Amino acid sequence: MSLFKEIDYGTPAAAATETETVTLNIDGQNVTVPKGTSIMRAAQMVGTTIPKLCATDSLEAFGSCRLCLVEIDGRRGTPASCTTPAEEGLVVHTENDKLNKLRKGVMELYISDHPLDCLTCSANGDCELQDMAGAVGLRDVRYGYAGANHLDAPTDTSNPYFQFEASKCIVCSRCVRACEEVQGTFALTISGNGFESKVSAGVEEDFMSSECVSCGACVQACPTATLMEKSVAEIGTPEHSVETTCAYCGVGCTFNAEMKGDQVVRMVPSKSGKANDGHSCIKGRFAFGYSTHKDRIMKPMLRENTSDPWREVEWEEAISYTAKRFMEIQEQYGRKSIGGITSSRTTNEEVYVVQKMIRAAFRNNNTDTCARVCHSPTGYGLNQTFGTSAGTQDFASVDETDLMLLIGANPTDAHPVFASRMKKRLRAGAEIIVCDPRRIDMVETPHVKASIHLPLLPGSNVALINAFAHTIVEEDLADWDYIKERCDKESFDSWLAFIKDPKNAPEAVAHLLGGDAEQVREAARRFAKAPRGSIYYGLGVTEHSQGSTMVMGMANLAMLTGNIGMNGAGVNPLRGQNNVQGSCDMGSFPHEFPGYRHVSRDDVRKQFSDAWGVEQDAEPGYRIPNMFDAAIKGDYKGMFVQGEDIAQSDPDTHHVEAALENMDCLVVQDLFLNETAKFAHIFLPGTSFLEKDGTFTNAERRLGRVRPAMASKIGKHEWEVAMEISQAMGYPMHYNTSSEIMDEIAALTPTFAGVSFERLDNEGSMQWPVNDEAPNGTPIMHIDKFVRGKGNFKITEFVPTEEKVTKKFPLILTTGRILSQYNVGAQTRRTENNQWFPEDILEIHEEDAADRNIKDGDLIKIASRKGETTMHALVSDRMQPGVVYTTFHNPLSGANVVTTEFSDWATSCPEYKVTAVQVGITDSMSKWQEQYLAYNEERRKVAEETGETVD
Amino acid sequence: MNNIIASTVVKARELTAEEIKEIEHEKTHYPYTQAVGLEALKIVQKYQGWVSDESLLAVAKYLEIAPDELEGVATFFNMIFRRPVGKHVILLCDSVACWMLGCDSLQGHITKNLGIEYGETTKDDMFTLLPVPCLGACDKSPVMMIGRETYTHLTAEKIDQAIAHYRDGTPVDQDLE
Repeated sequence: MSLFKEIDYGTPAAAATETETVTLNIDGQNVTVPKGTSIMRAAQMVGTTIPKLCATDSLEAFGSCRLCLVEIDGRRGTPASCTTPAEEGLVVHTENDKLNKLRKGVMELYISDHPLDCLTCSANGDCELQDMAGAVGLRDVRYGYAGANHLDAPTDTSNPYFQFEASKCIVCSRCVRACEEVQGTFALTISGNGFESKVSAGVEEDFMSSECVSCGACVQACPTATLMEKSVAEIGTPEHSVETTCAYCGVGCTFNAEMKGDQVVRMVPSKSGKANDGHSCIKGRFAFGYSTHKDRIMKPMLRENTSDPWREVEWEEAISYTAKRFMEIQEQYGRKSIGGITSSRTTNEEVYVVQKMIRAAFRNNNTDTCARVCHSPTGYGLNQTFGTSAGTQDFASVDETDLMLLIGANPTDAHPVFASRMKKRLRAGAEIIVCDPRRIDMVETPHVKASIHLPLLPGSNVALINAFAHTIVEEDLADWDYIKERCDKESFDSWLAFIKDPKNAPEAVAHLLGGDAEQVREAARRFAKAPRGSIYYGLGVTEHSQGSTMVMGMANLAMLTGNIGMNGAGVNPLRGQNNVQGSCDMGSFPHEFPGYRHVSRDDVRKQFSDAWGVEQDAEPGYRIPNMFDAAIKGDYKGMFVQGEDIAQSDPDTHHVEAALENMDCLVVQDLFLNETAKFAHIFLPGTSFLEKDGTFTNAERRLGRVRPAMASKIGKHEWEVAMEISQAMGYPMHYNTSSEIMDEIAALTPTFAGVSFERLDNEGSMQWPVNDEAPNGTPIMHIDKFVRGKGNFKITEFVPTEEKVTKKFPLILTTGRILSQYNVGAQTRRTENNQWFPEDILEIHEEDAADRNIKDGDLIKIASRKGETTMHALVSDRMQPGVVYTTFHNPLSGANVVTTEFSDWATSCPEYKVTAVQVGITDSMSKWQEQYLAYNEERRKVAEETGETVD
Repeated sequence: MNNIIASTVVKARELTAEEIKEIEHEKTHYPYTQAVGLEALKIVQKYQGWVSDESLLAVAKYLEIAPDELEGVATFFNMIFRRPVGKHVILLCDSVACWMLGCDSLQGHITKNLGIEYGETTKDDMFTLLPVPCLGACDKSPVMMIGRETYTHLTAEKIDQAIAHYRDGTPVDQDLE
């Protein structure tokens, strides 16, 4: 439930495609509604609230509580208004003595088996059962309270975030249906029958040991205190609410932060959120506790050398010292010896100010962003083929797709709210084909079964996509009319000649794609024949030496089959971080100004030089890997790192650490003393999303407002820090509010021309481009023509990665994420989410395990030519022989100690997904891990001695 | 969704060829596989005597539905047994009509003679006694069922005869049925 109620219409809206309407009369008022609307919903549309308990508009009508009975002229009995559709000419009565008597009778039965502890109940004032007792005028229960009842039913407190107080359950099934219809996990059921009916998690398990993924949809659906956030039980009911945008993944869910003073009581996903439709996952709803975790650093800190203890200072000193150090370095080593990295975790406005600081105050283009290590190939590949560096669709598009081609993405773990939307569409009859080395949940989960799963070897994506295209061309399944009308002929003709080459045939590469050429052909045929085929992908596509090639290959395939420019189709990157799209849009890359305009373009450079009053450099600056190389060489000495833990998240840890150790002045701005901060000279605290005022841009190009639920805990907005450093370095920057920053972005960036905080506040979130051509934004791109004009086919030659398995390193290690943890885990590891996933583990196929005598839980050494680490093993039937898998959420795991220096040829995005390794049982940690622990211990001692607060 | 390594989740068993054959046959009667849940549980019970967790998981996996959903089905229907039962299950109706005509004392009679309460099985695994809400024969109450046979207008004597029949094949008087 939510205290700050959005109107509950009781049943979902009729299908959006329904055009026919019917007019009926409800209590004397005529109302016209789309055909298929329930009487309950129609009544609420004219402001008549019919009593109800089992109905809520996020769930299909169920008709079990019998409170919403109505009378209809000319019909027998008292039908339930939730399950009775509105029809032309109906005359409906929602209130009369007969109905009230029936409803009161129903309520008497409910209350005769419900504790009467309203005053001390956690849902007091926020309980629909209480509301209904009031609505029907319940004053007495004729049955008394002494009969058989469930008042002694035990409470399940196993989940750290919510409790299940069975004694208060009215068995309305809303939780069960939310788990099925909204989340699609099917972890809850009603077990037993009659008086014995009860909500049951799993097969007679508790919530924690069941299949429950802790998304909280059941808690939100519960009309009583039965399923309740523990935070509400502990703190009490919230008193105000702030609508904001989640700061975890690229889905960008809209939430209401329900507050008590400046304390978050709970996060409730907003029904008006266009990215999430009132749904959430465990991270967004529950894992916000890190924002007030004791590890958070609230004061700036300095130290001369990284071996010194940190010294807390006031902001003034920190800012002037940072500016002084940067200027000294530039004086000694030149203008290009410093730079910075922007964060995809911060707002567009904060990113914009940092890149502006680099371009205007540092006077160079040494700006890059953490998107470098995830979706930079997306930006490059889609720009080359379509003309924009972003996904083509909105999330709602999936509701109309006939076939999803899912490549290198694991949405149930990494983009759970969108995964629920995909599963909903799949249950409604769409088909999914999964291309992934690992058997992810989307291959087979309740009510979802991929028609084809191609367990390709990591590193074979381009062979796969070429084999698809080859099949479609060879079997004459292409959309020739579309290509003729929409695509560039010259590029298509040369691509056609390339793709016809037998080396691209499924039969030629089947050994890389799971072995069955006919299955590859069948997948291609199905995609080509689907009326609306969509491609969804993630980092399993981009984080390869041919990441950009693969993105272009998918764009080719979509154009070849006419699947760009309409609902239900498109090329859809599932972006990892809340604002990774935005940080790229904001000009974080060393070669592009805001809006993806190359620094070599004279007109653009003039625009920014004029606006900022500083001559802009035509030379692109360093990319992140170049920064490391230059640092090791001694050419790059100072860096501002905003909210990214490069020491943990970038590949080849030994190399990164060597680079960071070589810096003269490393400035880290973050919530916590992260791994990178170990090498820092200046630490500047940052703000959590609950304190930010700005915008995030999600994977569907949607700009969502981020509103402060509480005052900044560091005494400043985060953008003020970069602004003040810039000022201290002699470049004046003046913004009073983040809204003014967005105004500047809009003025300088054609795709953002129509964006302002005022419009976002009044009209809700918008998808760029928002400008004169698309004043209300652009859900689907490239509808009549591609942004670049004609669609551009690019030749995508398959070149295997140089990272090869050898006798010494016979297995391929690939990496991914898990539901309960988020990336380097800086946030989620500081929440109860650790209960689900306390450490990274190595998943291994039983044959590979048996060869090495490995059993579940054994400590395993993983060695590559780059380094060694250890973790515990899990023998898993998700894996194929020859491939092992792990996550990278915990610094001690050191997953990146083993990853290599190889990267995407076009964008330098690291090849995290392919590392040749050997694994075997060990009894001790790796040298790197021992050093890591020793360092932490040493820091702890220094901190104790000096009174410094350290993570 | 608990700690992955520590998890001691019950694993699905393999369905037998006979079970699969019969489930596949049932599938042809329904528009989609999920609808076959109840029939599949009956088939498994026919061969195994009852539906263990391992069997439930196997059927759920085979039909691509969540174990929890199938658990809801399995526990809703009294005739699906989620615990081991004896060779013969005595279903004694305890709803209003049978109660008015003395089913409680008949239960006492069974309990005394077989040594089992509701929900229990005799030591020799021959009989399990279960209450049932209604067998649809209220006009002939009290009523019980053993196997596929319904016994109406029950008396202690009739019960003894029926039990003897199942125990050693003693013929049952025609008018008992």
